[in-house]
Amino acid sequence: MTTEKMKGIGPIPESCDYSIAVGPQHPTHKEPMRWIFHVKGETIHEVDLRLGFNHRGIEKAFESRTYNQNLYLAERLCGICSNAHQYCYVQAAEKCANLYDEVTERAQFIRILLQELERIQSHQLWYGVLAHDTGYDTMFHITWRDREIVSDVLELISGNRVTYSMYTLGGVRRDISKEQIDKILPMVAEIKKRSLYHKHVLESEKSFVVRQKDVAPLSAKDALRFCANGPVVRAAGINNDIRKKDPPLGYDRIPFDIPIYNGCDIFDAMRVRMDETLIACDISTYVLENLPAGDIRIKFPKKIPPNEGISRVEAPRGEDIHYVRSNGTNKPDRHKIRAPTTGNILSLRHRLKGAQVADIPPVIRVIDPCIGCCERATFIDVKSGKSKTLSNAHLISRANRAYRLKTKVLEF
Amino acid sequence: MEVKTLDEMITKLGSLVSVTEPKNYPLDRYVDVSPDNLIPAVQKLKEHGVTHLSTIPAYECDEGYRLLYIMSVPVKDGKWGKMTIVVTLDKNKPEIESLTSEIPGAEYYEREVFDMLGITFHNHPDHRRLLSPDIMPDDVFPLRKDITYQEIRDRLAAEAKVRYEE
Amino acid sequence: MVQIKGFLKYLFVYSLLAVIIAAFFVLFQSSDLMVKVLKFFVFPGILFIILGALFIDWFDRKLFARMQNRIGPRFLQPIYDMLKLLAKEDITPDGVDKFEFNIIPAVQVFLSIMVAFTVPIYIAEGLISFDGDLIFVLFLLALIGGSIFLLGWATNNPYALIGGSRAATSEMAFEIPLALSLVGPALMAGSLRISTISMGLWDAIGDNLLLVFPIVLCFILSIISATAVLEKVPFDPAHAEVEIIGGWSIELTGKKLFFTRFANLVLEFGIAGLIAAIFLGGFGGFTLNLTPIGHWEVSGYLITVVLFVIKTCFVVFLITLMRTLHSRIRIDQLVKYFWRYYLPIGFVAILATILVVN
Repeated sequence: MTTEKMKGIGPIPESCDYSIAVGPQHPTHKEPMRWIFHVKGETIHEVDLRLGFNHRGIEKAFESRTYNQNLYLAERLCGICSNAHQYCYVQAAEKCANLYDEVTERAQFIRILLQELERIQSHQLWYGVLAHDTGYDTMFHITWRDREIVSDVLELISGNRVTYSMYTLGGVRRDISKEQIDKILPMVAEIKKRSLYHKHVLESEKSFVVRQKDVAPLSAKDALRFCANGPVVRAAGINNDIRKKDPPLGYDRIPFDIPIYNGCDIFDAMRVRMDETLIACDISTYVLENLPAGDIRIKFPKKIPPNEGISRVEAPRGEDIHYVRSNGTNKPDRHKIRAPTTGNILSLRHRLKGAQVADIPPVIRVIDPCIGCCERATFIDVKSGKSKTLSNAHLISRANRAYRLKTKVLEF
Repeated sequence: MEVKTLDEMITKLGSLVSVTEPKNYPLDRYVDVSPDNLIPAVQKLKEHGVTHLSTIPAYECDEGYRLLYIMSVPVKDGKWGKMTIVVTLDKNKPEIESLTSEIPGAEYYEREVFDMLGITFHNHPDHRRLLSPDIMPDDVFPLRKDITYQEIRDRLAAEAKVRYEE
Repeated sequence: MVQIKGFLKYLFVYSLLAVIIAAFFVLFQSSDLMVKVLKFFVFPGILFIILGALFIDWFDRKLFARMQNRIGPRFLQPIYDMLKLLAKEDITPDGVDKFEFNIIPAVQVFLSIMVAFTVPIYIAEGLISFDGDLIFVLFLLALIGGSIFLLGWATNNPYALIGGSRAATSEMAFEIPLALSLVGPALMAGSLRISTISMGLWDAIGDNLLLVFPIVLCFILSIISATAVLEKVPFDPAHAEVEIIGGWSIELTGKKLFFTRFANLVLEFGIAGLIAAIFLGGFGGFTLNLTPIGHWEVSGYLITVVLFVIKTCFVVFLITLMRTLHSRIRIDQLVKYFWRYYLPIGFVAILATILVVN
C-alpha cells in the first residue's frame, strides 16, 4: 500500500502492524468508498476514509435546468432513497414560491404514503444485506423475496419499481383510485405479517445477535457531538425523528410512535429499523383508509421570485435536507443537498476505532451508507471525460494493450 | 434552557445578529451575522440546547461568498425550528474561523465548502479537499462562478498527463 | 414430470456406469495386479471419490437452495464449475513465495484423497486400513490445517495473512473436540481401527443400551467439528467471503483454485463418509449380514454402496442444515465456544463412556 502517494493519508502509526485497505471494490460495499484501517492483530486503531468515487456533478447540473426538469434529476440522486430526495426538493421549491401551505390534503397524504412505502422497501433491503454481511444467507434470500411484495405495491401505484416520479411541484402526479386501494390493503397486511416473522427470526437467532450486541457502540453524547442523524441516534436514546420534530405537512394528523432504544450498538439500530418497518405498515394502512377527497395538485408558477427555502424529510437513512435558492427565472440559482450519509460518516469513523476487523462490514452497514447521495457537487472526471469518445471495442483493446505492455499509461 | 419560539431565540441572541425580512414560516428563521460574531452566536445557541448542525450550504453572489449554517433549535411542543445563520464573506478575503471547536460535526461540511469554493477555515483539524480527485490543481474550485466546465476539464486533463506519465 | 424423467435418465446412466465397472472387475478377477489397479483408480479409488465429491457438492448446494425457497443448480453443475476453473488463467502475483504457493493446493488434494481412502465404502475396510488409522486421519486433518496457514503466510496480501492466522486459530480450537468425538466410539468398540469400529459399534450398543447417550453426544459433537474442519458457516471466519474476500485463498486462480475447492469437496466426502461409517454403521446397517454366494457377490456389493451413499448424504444434510440456519461467528467467539462449551461436552461423553463400559 503506497500510502504516501495518496494526498492526505498519513503513514502507518507506530503502534500498528499493517494497514488494510477496504478499497473501492469490496464485496461488502454496495458503492465505492476507500477505507484505510491501520490494524494491530485484529483490532483497528486508526481509520481513514477517502470519498469521491461516486461524484457526478449534480449540483451544477441543477442550476442549468428548469424546476420541472429538476424533479427527475433529484430522483436520480440515489436509487433507494429516490423518493425522499424528490419529496425534499419539492417542498423546498414550494417554500421558495410561498405555496408550501396550499398543497391539498389529498396530495399531502399520498406523499406520506409513498414515503412510508419507500421506507419499508429500503429497510427490508437493509436488513437483508446486514444478514448477508454476517454470513446469514438464508435470511438474506427470504427478506429479499418478501421485499417483492412492496415493490409490487409501488408498481401498482406509480408504474415503477425504483424511481416512482409521483411528485410534482404543487402536489402529486397520479391519483390512487378505489380499486387500487382495495388491492393494496391486503398486500400491506401481508407485508406486515412477513415483517413480523423477519423481526422474530433476526432478533432471536443467537449466532446473528452475538455479532451485533455490544459491537462498536456510539454513546448519546458522541452522537450529538458528531451531529449524527437517523436511526443510529434513535438507538442511543435520543428522539431525532424529523417526522415528529419538524414534520412535513400531513404527519401531524396521523397517529404513530417513534421507536427509541438505549443500547447504542448495532443490534438496537437494527431493532429501530425493524420497528420502523412495522410502523410504516400501520401508517400506510391508516392513510389508505382515511384518504381525504379533493384535488391532487395546485397550479405552480413557472418563474419563482427571488427567495430561499430549506426543507427536511426523514429519509430511510436519516435526515435529508435540501436548500433551494431562486432568482426570478425558471431555473434555480443554487441547490444544495445534504444526504443523510454525509452526516453520519464522522460518527462512523469514531465508532470503528477499537472494533475488530471482522466487525467492519456490519459497522459500516449500520449507518446504511448510500454514497451515491453523498457526493454531488461539481466535478468532471478526466477519465470519463476522455472515455466518452471511445466505444466499447476501443476500451477493450486498450485494456489488452496495457496488459501486454505491462504499463498503466497509454496514449490515445 | 429551552425557548418557546424561534423569535424568542433571536431576541436572546440580541446584538450579535441582525434579521433581514422574516419569511412567513414559523419554524424557519434567517439571521445575518458578521464573521467575527459567528462563534459567540453559536456558543449562545449551545446554552439553549442547540447541538445539531445540519449542513453548510455556500454560494457565490455579488457581495461575496455567503455561508449558511443551518442549526436546529428545540422549541415548544417538542419541535425543532431551523435557525439559519447567514455569514457573508468578502470576495478578496475568503477566510473564516472554523466551527469545529464548538461543534465537531462540522468537519466534513467545512471540508466540502473548501473543496468547492475555496474558503479557508482557520484551526480546522484536517484541512484538505473532500470530494475532488487527487490530481485536482490547488487553485481550481469548481463551484465558483468564474470557471466553466471546459476549463475544469482541460486543467484536469493536463494534470493527468503530467502526473501519470512518470 | 420433467424432473422425474431427468432423474430416471441419470439413474440409467449411473446403472450403466456401474455395470461397466462391475464388468471390468469380473473380467479381470483372476489377475490380482489388475484388480488392485482397478481398486485404486476406479472403484472405490480415485474415480469413485471424484464422482462422490461432485455429487456431494451438488447435493449440498441443491439442498441449501431449496431450504431458502430458491431453485438451485442442476445436476451437472459441479462438473461445469470445475471445468470452468481449469480453463481460467493461472496468475502468480509478484512477491509470493513461489514454491509454497504453487505446491500447497496440490498437497491439499493429495491429503484429502488419502483421508477418503480410509473410508469403508463397500466392505468394512477402506483402501488403507491398519491398526490405529483413526489417529492417521486426525493427523492428516491437522496437516491440512497447517497447509492452509502456510498458504496464507506465503501469499503477499494482508487479507490472506488474516485468513491464514484465523484458520490456524480455529484449527487449535476444533481439533481436540474432533478427536474426542471420534475416540468415544473407539472406546466402545475397543479398537482404533476404523473397520473394527464400524462393524463393532452397534453390537457394543446392543450389549449395553446405556451407551446410546454418549454416542448421541459424540455424534453431535462430530458434526459440529466437521463443520469447523470444512470451513462452513457458522464456523468459517477463515474464509469469510464478505469481510476478507476469501481469506487465505484470495490470490488463487485457475487450477490452484480448482485444487483447493476440490480438496474441500473430497474432504467433505471423506469426513461425512467417516462419520457415517463410525456412527451410523457405514455400509451395512445393523443386521444386514450378507453371505455372498457365487454370482450374487456383485449385487451384494451394490446394496452396500447404495446404503453408504444414503448415509453419507444424511450426514451432509445435517452439515448443510447447520449452514442454513446460522450466521457466521467471529474468530474469538469461535474459540470461546469450542473451548468453553464443546470441549466439556466431549469430556462428559468420554467419561460417561468409560463409566458405562466398565
